[in-house]
Amino acid sequence: MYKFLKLFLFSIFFLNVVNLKADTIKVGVLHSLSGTMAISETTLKDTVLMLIEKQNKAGGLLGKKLEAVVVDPASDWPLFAEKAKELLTVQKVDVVFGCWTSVSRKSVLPVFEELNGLLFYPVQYEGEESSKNVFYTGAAPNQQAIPAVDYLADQGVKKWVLAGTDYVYPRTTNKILESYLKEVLGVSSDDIMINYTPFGHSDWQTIVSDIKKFGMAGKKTAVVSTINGDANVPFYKELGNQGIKAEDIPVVAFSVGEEELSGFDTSPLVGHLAAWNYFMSAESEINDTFIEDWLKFIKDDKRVTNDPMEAHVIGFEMWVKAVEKAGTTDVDAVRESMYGISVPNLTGGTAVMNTNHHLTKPVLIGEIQADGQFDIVWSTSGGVIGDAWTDFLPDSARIVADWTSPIKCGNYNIDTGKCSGQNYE
Amino acid sequence: MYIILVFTNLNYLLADNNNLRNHILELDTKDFNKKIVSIEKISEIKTDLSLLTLKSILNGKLFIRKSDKKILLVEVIDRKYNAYDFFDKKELGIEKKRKLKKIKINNKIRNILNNKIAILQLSSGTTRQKTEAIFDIIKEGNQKTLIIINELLLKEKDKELLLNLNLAKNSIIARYGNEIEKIEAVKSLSGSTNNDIVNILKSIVNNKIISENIKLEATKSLEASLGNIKFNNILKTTFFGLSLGSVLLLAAIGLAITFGVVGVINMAHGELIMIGAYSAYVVQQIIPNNISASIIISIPVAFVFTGFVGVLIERLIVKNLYGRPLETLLATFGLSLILQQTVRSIFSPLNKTVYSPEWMSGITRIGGLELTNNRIVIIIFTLIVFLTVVYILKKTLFGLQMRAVTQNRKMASAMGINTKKIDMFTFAFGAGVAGVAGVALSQITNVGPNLGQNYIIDSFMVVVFGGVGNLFGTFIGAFGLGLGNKLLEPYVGAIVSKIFILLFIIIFIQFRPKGLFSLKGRMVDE
Repeated sequence: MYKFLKLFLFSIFFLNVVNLKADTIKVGVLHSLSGTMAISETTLKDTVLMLIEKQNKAGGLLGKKLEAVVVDPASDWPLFAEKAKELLTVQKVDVVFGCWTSVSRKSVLPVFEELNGLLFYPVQYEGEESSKNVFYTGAAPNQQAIPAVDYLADQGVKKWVLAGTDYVYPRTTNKILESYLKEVLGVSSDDIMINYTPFGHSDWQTIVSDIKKFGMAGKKTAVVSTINGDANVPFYKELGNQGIKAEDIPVVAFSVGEEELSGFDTSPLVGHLAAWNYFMSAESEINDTFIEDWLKFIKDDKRVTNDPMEAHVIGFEMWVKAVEKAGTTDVDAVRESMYGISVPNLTGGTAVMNTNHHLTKPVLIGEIQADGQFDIVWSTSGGVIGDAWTDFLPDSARIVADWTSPIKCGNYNIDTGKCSGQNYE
Repeated sequence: MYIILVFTNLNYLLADNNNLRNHILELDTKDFNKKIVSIEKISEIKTDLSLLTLKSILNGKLFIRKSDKKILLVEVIDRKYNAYDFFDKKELGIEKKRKLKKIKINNKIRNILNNKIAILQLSSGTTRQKTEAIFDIIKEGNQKTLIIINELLLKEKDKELLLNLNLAKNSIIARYGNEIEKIEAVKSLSGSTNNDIVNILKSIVNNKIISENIKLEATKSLEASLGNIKFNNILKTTFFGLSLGSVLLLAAIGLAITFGVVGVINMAHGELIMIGAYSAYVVQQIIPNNISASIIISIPVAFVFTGFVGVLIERLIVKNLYGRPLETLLATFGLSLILQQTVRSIFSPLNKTVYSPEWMSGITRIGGLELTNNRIVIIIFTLIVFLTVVYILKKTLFGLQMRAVTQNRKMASAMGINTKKIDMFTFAFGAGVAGVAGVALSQITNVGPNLGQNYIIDSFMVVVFGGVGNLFGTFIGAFGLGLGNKLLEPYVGAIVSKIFILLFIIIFIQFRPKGLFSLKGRMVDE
């Protein structure tokens, strides 16, 4: 009798496991819902949930329903790695959408590589990386920073202020930009001012007054800002208060989008710029539908859409297509079928996934308007191929990433023919 | 005869409007250089509508309806597009966004528009608009604007405007006049700290083909200007230091009361500031139409509400932990996280906008010195708060009892003071002051769940440096650190100057563990 019961229980347990596996495809969502980064990442969690709901309404994937597994890494970098491990080993998700800051990505990278998971990373970043297990759907520096500088140079800017928060993304981006300004645009070092500030810096009086002094000396000056998150509001407020208008010294930012602007009154900032691959104001049918869907899903018609959201939309649709093409959610098979897949992006063109795990997408420059939106004033004529390793740093210029044969490497030196660094085979 | 006149007049008007309409339609292009040409043409049409056209383009209110190319003025309220006919101002109701096309501009065009509007506004416009217009003209004036300025000089009565108009006039003559005129003009520009004028002087000094006489005068004038600017910069740095000091003081006063008087290490102090800032936000949501009133009303509201939160914290947590600093520290730290997450759940993790009243924006010019109004207001506000707190402590019964408890708890108790009650009120009072600080901070930084975290370290630094339990020490400490930070910043940068300040305090504490001004009292000896 006892033996029978044990067998019975075991079979139920076994059936359950099989059932679970058969019924749903699990999608992990690894975004901070508490702590400092919650401000940006909560929206991305909601975006993925919306995409999953939509996909399920349309009949799911491979005949199964998608199931979201949401975890909260609480803006804590080591916790990101733990939660990633939990998603991959305990929850056994088939794909993960997540991370915002570069440190959080770097912290989960070893986990994804060791357990052969699949991560879609939706935020613009400093480049210099290509992992076999990560698809980068945000912009690489050549899809955001370099075109923005080109645009400003075209507008007659001769002097440059590179202002950033003191951490890896601004440091690397500014290193690339400094070398680009000097080597390609021929700007002398006297005409470049570089400035770093701590996280959450709130007293900008001295720096803004320095920028004013630097910029009012006759030559047209622009500020290239990699100032992160919370420090932006007091920075822009101080600009407005000290009477620096965009016509005098324009500020182009890489971390300021519609969502960051929804935190304050933008009327003194009209004309300052941002470079992204997507703006909410983009005029296309598909964007209008997306915005409508989003407002309906989030039940608040004051909310906005932004660039990392589009990156998730593109990443998600690509993953769905790749799974359908591969006929399975197996990570290796899906990865192989990701290459060359194209989906429409929200601004009207198409985005293509390249073999270096970065996207081809258009670059747009927008000017801030009084209502917190951007007017697009310039865009590349076609898509720009994301470059994992920048051409403007001597060490990186010789390195390419290509995950198809014969190279099969994210860190391949074309001079020595060696694959080195993270995750080589 | 009369009818014919009216008729031809009307005809002209119609022709002008037609012309205007055509040029506006030309603006519907992606080529910004073509737009510039059309804007030049619009500004040359002499009708009342051309100023309105330029202004509407600048403010992003001019739209073209895609279907019939009708030109519309659009007011966007809550993402709804209320359209009016541009020419007869007839209300056309709400239009769908995708049926309209906005006339987009970039910074270059914005600059041109500002200049055109400035010239048109020099003769109309308010005093403030006129002043702005004059400064715009100094940047890019030419002979054409000189004629307008000369006309205005005859008409204008306001002394300051006259002064600025003369400055603008001379700045133009210095570039376009004949030799004798130029020398006079350059002389009169001497000592001016206006940026554009300094640039004009510099360009004259560096110009190779200009005569030596003018150059000599220009060099003299430039030296005087640069001297004045240097002097102004010292004043400016001092002002920056005072304003940073006042922010530090504001953040620290509340803590000086709770930490200094009750002896509680309250790690949730920053969150009390945050609650004050959110009170300002909520009050502004309730009265959205009067920003000035909402900010002033939110000061007592924040004081009372945050004070009430303070009572709750004291009754529920701190009361049971008096005399156990480590446990208090941990408990209040946990509380700070709870408060942050509560705010995140109620208000969303996104930052909230607290609008600034008109009188807190812009610049006050004192001589050549430009001071930002919001900082001036905050310095004054801080002083008022500080003096009020000092008054309450020194001149009221509550303050007397509070000081008695601080200096000798047992004796105070023996004299019939309910020390438990005083503890509670003191904590609530400190919390309330923190809330008031939050209202002020809502004007210069983000109103978000993380607001408090940015100020907690600074507040402790000020209180420890100034001497625990001594308000005067807090005052000196805050302004000392603020000034020190700002004096160092131009030389070593924001990050290193902060490190220097921290290093200084670490060393300072070694020699004077009780801070600048230590409290004399029996409790201190215990």
